[in-house]
Amino acid sequence: MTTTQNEPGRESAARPGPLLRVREAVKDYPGTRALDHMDFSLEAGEVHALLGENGAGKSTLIKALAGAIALTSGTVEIDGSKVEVRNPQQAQALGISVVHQHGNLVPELSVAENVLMVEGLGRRIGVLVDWRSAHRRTRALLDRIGLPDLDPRREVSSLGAHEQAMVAVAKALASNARVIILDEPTTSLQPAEVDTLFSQMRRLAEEGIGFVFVTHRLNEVFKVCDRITVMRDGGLVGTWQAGELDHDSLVDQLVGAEKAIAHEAFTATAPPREVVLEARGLRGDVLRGVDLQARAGEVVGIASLPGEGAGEVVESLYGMRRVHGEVLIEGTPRRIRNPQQAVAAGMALVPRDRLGQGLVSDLSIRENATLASTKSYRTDPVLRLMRRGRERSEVAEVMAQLSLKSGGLEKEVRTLSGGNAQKVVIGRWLLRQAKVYLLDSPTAAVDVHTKAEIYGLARSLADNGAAVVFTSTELEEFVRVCDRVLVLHDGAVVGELAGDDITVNSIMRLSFGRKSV
Amino acid sequence: MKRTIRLTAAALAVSLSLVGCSMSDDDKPSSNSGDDSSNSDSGKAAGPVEDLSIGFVAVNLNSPSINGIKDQFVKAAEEKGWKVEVFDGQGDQAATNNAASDFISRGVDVIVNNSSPNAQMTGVMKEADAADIPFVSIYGGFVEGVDAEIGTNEFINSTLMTAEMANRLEGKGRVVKLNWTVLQALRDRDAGFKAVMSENPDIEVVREIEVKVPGQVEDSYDQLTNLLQSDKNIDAIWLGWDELAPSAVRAIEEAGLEDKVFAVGFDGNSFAWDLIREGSPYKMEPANPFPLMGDKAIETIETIVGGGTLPSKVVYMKPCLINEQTVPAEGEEPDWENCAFFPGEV
Amino acid sequence: MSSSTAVAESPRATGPRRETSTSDKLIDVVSRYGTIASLVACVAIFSLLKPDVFATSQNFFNILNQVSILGIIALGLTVALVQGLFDLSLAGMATLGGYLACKWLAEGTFGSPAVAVLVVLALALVIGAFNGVVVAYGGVSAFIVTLAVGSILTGVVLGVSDSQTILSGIPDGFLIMGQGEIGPIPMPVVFLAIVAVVLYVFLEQTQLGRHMYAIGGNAETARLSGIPVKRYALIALGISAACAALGGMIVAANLGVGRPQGVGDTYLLDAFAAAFIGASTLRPGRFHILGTVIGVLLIGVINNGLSIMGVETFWQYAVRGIILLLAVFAASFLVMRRR
Repeated sequence: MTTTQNEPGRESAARPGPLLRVREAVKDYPGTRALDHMDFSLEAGEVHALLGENGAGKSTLIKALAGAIALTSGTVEIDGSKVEVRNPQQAQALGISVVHQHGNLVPELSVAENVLMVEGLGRRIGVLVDWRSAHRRTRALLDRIGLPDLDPRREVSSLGAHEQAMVAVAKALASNARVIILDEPTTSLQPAEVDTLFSQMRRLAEEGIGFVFVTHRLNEVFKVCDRITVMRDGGLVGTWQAGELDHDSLVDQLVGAEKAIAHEAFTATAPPREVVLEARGLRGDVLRGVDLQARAGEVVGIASLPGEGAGEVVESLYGMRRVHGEVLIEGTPRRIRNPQQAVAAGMALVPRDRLGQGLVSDLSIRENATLASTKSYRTDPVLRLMRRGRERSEVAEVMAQLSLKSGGLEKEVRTLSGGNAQKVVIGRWLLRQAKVYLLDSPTAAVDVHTKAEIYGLARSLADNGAAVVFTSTELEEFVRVCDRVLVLHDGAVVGELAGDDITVNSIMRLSFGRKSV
Repeated sequence: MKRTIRLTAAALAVSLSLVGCSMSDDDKPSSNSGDDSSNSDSGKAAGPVEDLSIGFVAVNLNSPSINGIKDQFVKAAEEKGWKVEVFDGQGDQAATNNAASDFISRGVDVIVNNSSPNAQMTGVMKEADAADIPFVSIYGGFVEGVDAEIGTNEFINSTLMTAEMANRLEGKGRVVKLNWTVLQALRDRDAGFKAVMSENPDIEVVREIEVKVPGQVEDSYDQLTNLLQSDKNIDAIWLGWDELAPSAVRAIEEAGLEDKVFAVGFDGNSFAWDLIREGSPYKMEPANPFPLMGDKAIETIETIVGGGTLPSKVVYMKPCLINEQTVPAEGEEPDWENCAFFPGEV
Repeated sequence: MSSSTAVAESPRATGPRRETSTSDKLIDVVSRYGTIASLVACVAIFSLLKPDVFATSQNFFNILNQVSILGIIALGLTVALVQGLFDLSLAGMATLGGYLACKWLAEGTFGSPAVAVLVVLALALVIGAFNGVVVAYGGVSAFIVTLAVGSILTGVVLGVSDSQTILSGIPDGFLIMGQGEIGPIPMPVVFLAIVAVVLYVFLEQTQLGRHMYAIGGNAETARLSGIPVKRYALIALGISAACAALGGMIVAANLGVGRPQGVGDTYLLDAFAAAFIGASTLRPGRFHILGTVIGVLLIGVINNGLSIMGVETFWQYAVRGIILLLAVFAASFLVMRRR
């Protein structure tokens, strides 16, 4: 295992030590050691990637730095002197700020109110908010993060995803943060937005701010980071200069022994069979006449920039969005105006927002799994008693097939990790014997290992005779799992790629409206 | 525009009421028997009063007795050609007070408070005083600042009832009291109970139960059931008001004590009379002459506005004793004017 | 620097990572079983202090009898709460139900008490379903809709009754609902038991109940799973209204009085208290029938025990409030810890 002792990315001669240093951090939970003698250091002015699969200990380390949990043992140093981070207020005072995946913003409040939430809005005559100075101060911060045109009075909920991410950074800056920890800030961003975010991060780094960047998207790491630290099973695997690793070797470090998994492709091995799903002339407020076919045994990707059609096609097929046009399942026209009719027609949705749309977190795994097929477990249409025994055995069978790891099928779904939770959603549709699977970013926020597992599941769904429609914000996924990709631009199909023609580059070019590949 | 309409309407009303007033006076020289006595009681007789506008506020017209007072008052006032504007606070004292203030600032001639505790309307009284508008109350309890209060003496009612209860027990026994000592009338009854009990050392007050309001009916039933279960040796139950009578009767019957325990109460709700008539353990109560209070208030207002003086600002009315002998037939009312109050009159 | 050997042995963190220290476990146990424990404790204390009165089979049925109406109303409310719907109209519904049954029977509109009861229940279902229609299809919060409808119902019953209480003419066949007994068991308790069993089976064992829990947990997920989410608001609020009306009729039958005012208001807040105490019991954060039954019993035992001991009324209010606070506090503490 390669371990390079850290060499500061930038000059820091005047400092007695690095901006932030964690030594021998241990965090024990009963039965689990979440952090195992972890070391980490961050220099002022660097962007430092903190990587690891789910459960590797990244979030525990971040929580400890943010003052949300206390370390069992180990030390934290700022500028070479030992500090205590017992609560979030102390972390803030030390200049450590965490920007979470879904932002720590209140959507109903304005940009200014959010940005100045910690520092406080100024007062006039003791009680009245001094809005003029608040907006001035916010504008200054927005200038710093490269959004000089953003109106501080706008409600955060009206902002785009990348603007929200940047406003969250501005909020961190407002509290004079010197260490900004970005926890998967790019999950909801599109490539162009990611680039904007990165260029602003680099600029702020030049001002002397240290960034800890947590992500699952490895290509981003090489775009923006100076150094890379990889964690596995609560401990340090190693820290490298970004130039020392490439994509493949980084993946190897992340997954350790199970290297092969991360590069495996999941494209079809057999030719597709009969057409299961056919859509003709889908037309709505975004879509401008989309035709689509998916055959049994194939995984069809639908790609576009956000708001230009891919997500809209999925929503239209599932009856969540009003469109004109025809949908045929196995040759029969079906009227699909709501999800209920979609389900009845044999559609299955694996939504992007697992907790918000896919699962009922307070119900058990069993109850979640049979949610779409309760009808087949009831005794009769009058009393409608549920046959729990049959339910239990069939859920157990399907979950074994999906190799779900859980503490028991009666455990609440809340207790599951992201990948296992996704398996429950997929299991629900297996129990329903769905014919068409609509997978909308099914691998959002899961680790490399689980991603591969989910790709494998998508493939086996197709192999077992279903048609799979797949969409994602991560273009590499199309390459690994799709047999065919329809690329949409401005609500219309502008190209279809198949086999080896499916590359990140070709998808990107088409989705920007360039006909030539 | 609006103003002119209102003025015209007022003028019209005045001219009509002049006619109406004289007619009613001629036709019915004494619409009630209290007339003579009140005229003679008044230190100085007042001339007939015409053309009054009255702001009439009631805290809650959902209550049958409060509503009865209102009906009687409005009827009698209209017979005199007076204009009555009624406000129903629907249980909201603050809204009632606000409505009274509005009446005052609009310049009515008299404010009448129907059954709200006067103690909670002292602000209104001050406004009325400043505007030189008489403040007359019906069953509101006398406080400083009221120009006239028409009511009953609940202390007397209670001492009579409690004494009668003690007499029936022949001076010894064990009694339970249920009351809600938040309303002034109920406090007065409580005082009467205590006054009589202090003179009857052989009567033991086993429990004084403060009933939960709202939920008084259910709570009194639960509490009495619990009590009678643990202590069968009870002789009488004293109820602060007769809304509790059905639950008391039911609890007594359930405990199988209907031949031993009896109950007394107050107020004059017809469903309580039904219980008395049926020979249930609920034996008697004084019924307050609410229907007469409206007339009495009209009379009193005439005296005040006509420049007469009252011998006392508190005008007490005589209740009727309701027991097995005097209880009116179903659906009927007692003869309020000629009924008996003392058991000896029966 | 790396500690690969130690790491290799440790289990992969794919499953749930439960953060359960001893203190967390204690909190878990306390919040799950605390309410039951305090129920047992109350019974034990009262039995010890007043063994000859409290701990008798007669008092046992007496307590059940006293909580039965609250129980029936609270159980109906539980069904609405499972779906996250507050039903504030149940106070007006209970008053209306009890009053109408008495009125129709006293006036001879219906000769048979059973018919009158069924008509009232059907009317309640319709009114509850109306609540549900406005909530589901009008997109108004149940809190507001039921507040408004409750006020309308209160007005209707006052208007219909002219504020007059009905005392005479109520047939014995109706009064038996509240005053009769089957063996040693008072009829209200029989009704409570029936309602509890039926609703338990409904919520826990049927397809409809399963869907209700799913909708209450995450309506969007339920909708995307193909469940016709909207019509369930009608069912839930219909059941809640029917239970309220049944409770109102049993009160009327028990006391033999058809009151047009204030019958249901007594139970409104206690029903919510019982359901929330219940939601903190056994399965914290989830409304369920067994929990509500426990909540109702706890309220009943406290009221009965304190009243037998001759404790002042204000203590009964205070003690009930404290127990509610403790129960809900313990449950929310657990939920917070779990995050």
